[in-house]
Amino acid sequence: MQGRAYAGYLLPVIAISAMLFLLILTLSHLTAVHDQMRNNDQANMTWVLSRTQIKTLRLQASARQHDGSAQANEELVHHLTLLLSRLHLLVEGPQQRFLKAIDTESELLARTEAFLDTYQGAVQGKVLGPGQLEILVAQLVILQEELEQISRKVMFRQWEIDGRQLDGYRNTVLGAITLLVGILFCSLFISAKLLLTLKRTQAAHATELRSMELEARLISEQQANGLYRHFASMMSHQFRTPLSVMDASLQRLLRTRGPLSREELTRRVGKAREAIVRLTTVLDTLLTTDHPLETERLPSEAYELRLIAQRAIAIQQLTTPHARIELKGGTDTVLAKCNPGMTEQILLNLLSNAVKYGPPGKPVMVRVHEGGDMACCDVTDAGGLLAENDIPELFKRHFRGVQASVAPGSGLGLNIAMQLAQLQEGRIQVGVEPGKHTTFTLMLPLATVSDTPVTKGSERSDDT
Amino acid sequence: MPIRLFHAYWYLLAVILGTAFFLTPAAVGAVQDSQLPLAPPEGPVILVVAGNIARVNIEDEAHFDELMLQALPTHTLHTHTVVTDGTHRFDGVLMRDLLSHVGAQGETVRALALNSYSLDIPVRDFHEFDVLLATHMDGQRLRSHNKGPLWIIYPRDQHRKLQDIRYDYRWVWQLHRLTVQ
Repeated sequence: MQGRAYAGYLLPVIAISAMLFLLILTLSHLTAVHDQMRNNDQANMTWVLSRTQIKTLRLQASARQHDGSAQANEELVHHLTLLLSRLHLLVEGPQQRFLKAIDTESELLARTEAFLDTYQGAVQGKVLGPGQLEILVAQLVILQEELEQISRKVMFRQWEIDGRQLDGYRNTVLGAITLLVGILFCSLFISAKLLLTLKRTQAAHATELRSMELEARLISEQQANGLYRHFASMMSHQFRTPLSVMDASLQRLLRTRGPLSREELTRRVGKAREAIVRLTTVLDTLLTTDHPLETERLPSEAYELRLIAQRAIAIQQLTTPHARIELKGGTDTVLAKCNPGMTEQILLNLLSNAVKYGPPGKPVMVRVHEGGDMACCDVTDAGGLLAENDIPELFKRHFRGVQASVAPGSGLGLNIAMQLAQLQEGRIQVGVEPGKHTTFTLMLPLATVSDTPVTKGSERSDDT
Repeated sequence: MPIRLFHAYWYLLAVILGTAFFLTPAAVGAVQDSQLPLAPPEGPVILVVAGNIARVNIEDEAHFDELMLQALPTHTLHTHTVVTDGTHRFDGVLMRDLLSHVGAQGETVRALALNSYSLDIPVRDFHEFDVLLATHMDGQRLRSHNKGPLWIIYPRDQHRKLQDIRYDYRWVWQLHRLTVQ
């Protein structure tokens, strides 16, 4: 498997290495041409020889026309000076080597050196006699012939050199072109490979995104399904509190001996009616939200969390009249963006747990406050029996902690509370100080100024 | 307090005048030197500078003999040449020094050799490079039956740009006349 993965890299690595190798070769080729082009050592040779020939002829003419006058002598010395200068050039290193390479048998160089030796003194003031002039002319004739012969050879040689040099440039440039074609192919291959990989990566990325989206949708579907499946158990749990309130009121009514005053009757029946109102509120919540389990449809209005807490406490007091529940904290208005019916149910579930699991006789504290951008309501009991390990499991359906064994329950209350909180974009946090107290905090989004507070409490249930 | 200040002004004035007194002859001398006509040559003339020049000695030309050239600041250069083997030492005068000595104004200089070789050289060459008007090669006086009396030498080894045939043909030997244009 791993071998296969490496095999995928093999071709691109070979292509890149080949391209780098070809690039280096091309560079060296071009550098070679660059250096060759600077080499123009022999470029002067034809010109040097032609100038020397001209000076030889000029001196010959001057010597032949010499009439013995000082002016003629001056002219002769001038032309001799110029010829000597040219001959000096011929016997200098580069020119000498070139001439030797062309014709090893030529006597031109030896003749030139001899000529220089003989006449160097003549330009420094010595006057040449008629006999010497004849010798000079004879020497110049021979020199001229030699120069002519070698000039032709130099010219051929120069053409050969030029041709060879051009061949060299052509070959090097051709080599560079071939290498560049190779580089082109390599880069085309690499580019194609790159584009293909890019396309594949993008396709894979799109598939991944799609599958993540599908997975998220599946999870939310599953959650919704779960809620619908457990709808009955949820509802029965939520109906239990108002029903037990009604039951208690009616039982007390039955147990009453003797006639009841009109006021007493009204009070007791009133309690039962309030429980009915509770039931109606639960039903109302279900009915007014077309689909109670879809968050998108939940109304989000600003409600004063303290008022909702007060109502929840009052209802809880009906079922457990002996329990002490105290609403603490300041009187500052804390507005939550929520559904009042659901919030009330959450708090009722938290309160009933606190009363159930808190030590008897110790009060349950309720505190409404702001925490960051959340509206919070703490429900604290003086229990502190909750085990740390249980906290993550606490909100799972039918989970019952160690302390729950002391009281009856279905293990649904916290699960429902959490789900209702989440439906309102809120959550429930648990804090335990072992042996001292346990705090459940309902956190709901804090209402901003734009969430116009249409109502400051759960007025809807009052009207029913 | 005003009296002391008054003294300070006098002191300052004295210092300024004193400085001016010592500096003036040198400054005036320098100015005059570059504006004075050239002294006439005493020995055989080696070089003639003609054309657009401010300082002349014979008619409207500047004629130089050996001594007059030697009086100019000398400069040394080590370089290869295209017609010889190995590195050589050249001594002589910088072209730009010579041109400024004669107060030359122009864009090009026409160089003329004894062998009738003639060539226009841009003056900017002499400012861009230390171009030498060589009188000596390897310590030996250049002779006219070789490459003397003067040879224009470019610092070929010091600048890669100069290793080019387009600069090589500016190395005029047997030079004897410059015309500023």
